[in-house]
Amino acid sequence: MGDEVQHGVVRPRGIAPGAGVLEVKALWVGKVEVSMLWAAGFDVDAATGQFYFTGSRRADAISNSWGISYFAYDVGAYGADFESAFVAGLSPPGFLNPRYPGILIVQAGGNGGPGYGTITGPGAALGVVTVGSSTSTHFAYVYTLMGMTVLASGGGWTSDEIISWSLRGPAPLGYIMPDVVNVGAFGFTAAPVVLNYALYGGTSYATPLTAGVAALVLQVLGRTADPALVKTILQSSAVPLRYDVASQGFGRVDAFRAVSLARLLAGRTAAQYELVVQSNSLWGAYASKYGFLRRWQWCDNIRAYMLWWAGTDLQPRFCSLHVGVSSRVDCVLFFGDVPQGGSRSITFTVRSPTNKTVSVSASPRQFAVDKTLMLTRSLSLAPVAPNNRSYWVFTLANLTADA
Amino acid sequence: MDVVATIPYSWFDADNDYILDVRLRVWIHIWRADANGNGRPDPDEMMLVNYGYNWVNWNLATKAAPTIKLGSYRGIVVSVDLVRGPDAPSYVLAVPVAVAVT
Repeated sequence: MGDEVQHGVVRPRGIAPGAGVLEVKALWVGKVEVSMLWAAGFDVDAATGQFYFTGSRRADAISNSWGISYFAYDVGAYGADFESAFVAGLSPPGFLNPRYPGILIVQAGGNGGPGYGTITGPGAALGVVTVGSSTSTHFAYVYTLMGMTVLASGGGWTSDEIISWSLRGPAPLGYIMPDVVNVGAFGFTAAPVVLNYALYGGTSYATPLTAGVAALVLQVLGRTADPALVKTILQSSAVPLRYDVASQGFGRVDAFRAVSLARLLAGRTAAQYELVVQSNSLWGAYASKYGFLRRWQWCDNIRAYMLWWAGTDLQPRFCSLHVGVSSRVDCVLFFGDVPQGGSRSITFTVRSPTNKTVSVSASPRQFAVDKTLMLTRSLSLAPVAPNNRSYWVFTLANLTADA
Repeated sequence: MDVVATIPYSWFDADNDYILDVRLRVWIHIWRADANGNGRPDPDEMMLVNYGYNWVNWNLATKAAPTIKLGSYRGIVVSVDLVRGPDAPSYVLAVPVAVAVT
């Protein structure tokens, strides 16, 4: 507790009421890397400027509600860029220090949708949990009851769609993003204003919600749990929303299912039975194909950046990906480059947490455009009229059945 | 279900001064039931499902698995708003709106 008081940890009520929140000043350029290292338990030798791992005040997870949407300040595409390389090195255990246990990084994917490939950095990085935004229109119901009929939701509210501006994958290197989605459009939250609450949204909102679920999982598994295990639990237990994977990833984060899976993996009982899927195909392909980029980033670019912007020195144990990293797991299945006329095999594991017998089947799924209905209408605005609305009603009779 | 509404760019910024004339809003609602029997979806009969954000002269809103999520409710209402922008003339006449529902 003394350490927590010293470093300003607060314990607000919320999705994970037992979790402490350590706020770290991060933005702007030159600050985020130092801040994440500090939160991950690193300190700086005052004499040499060298970062070294102490483990003091180490947070269990980092929630990043920021990203780089409109520019890239080095030669790498998102996923291979400086910031992505940095967090992909900070998340695994052992890369920066043999005693370093790694850290779970939950990262906002950005609000650049609806175009495919609008994932940003470092959300496109390997190892982090990248979060997109799903809907909950409870706010519209509340506001309609308060007289804001333009939202037209007085009959109730819905959830679990993907909002238009949520980032879409895939990442430039080809793998699927986001990892998961969570409510980001929109939710009420506490705020120091007249009403003591406000309406918030964005993948910046969905990200701390997901970090809260990660905290619940870590509470079950313990603070030394491998971040990759926590990530695959969040992915495996997410609820598919029937969108394509480049929009929803593995689906909307489900706290109950995630904690149930964590409890089963910890040898405890759970009301819900879950399976966890793991594959090293993503890290393996990345290590073989993009190892040279990572080597350049970590042993040239990042060191130079840290020296220039922060006056510090950060040396990884290895310039290239070490053996442990290339065998790390994720739920994402990634084939990497498939040569023309060739083939490539990957492996994945469906892990049952207990000796219970379960039946698992897998089948390919294809998304196809059934038909497009073109509608036209002319709309006019009378003087001072703010808007003019027109509508169409679709019923089961004129909708194509869903697969 | 993808709903994409589009207007010609010439209506979005008629005089090319980079100040928008009109823009679009797209809403998707579930119409629970025609409770008052007037044949129209009224605000207290609907639940907001999703909506889009205007991008220049187009707007996209999505709803996955519409028939499954519709269930026994009356229907899905796709609404398109033409919204006055800061550079709109007093009268805005007959803006052609194309709506593609996929």
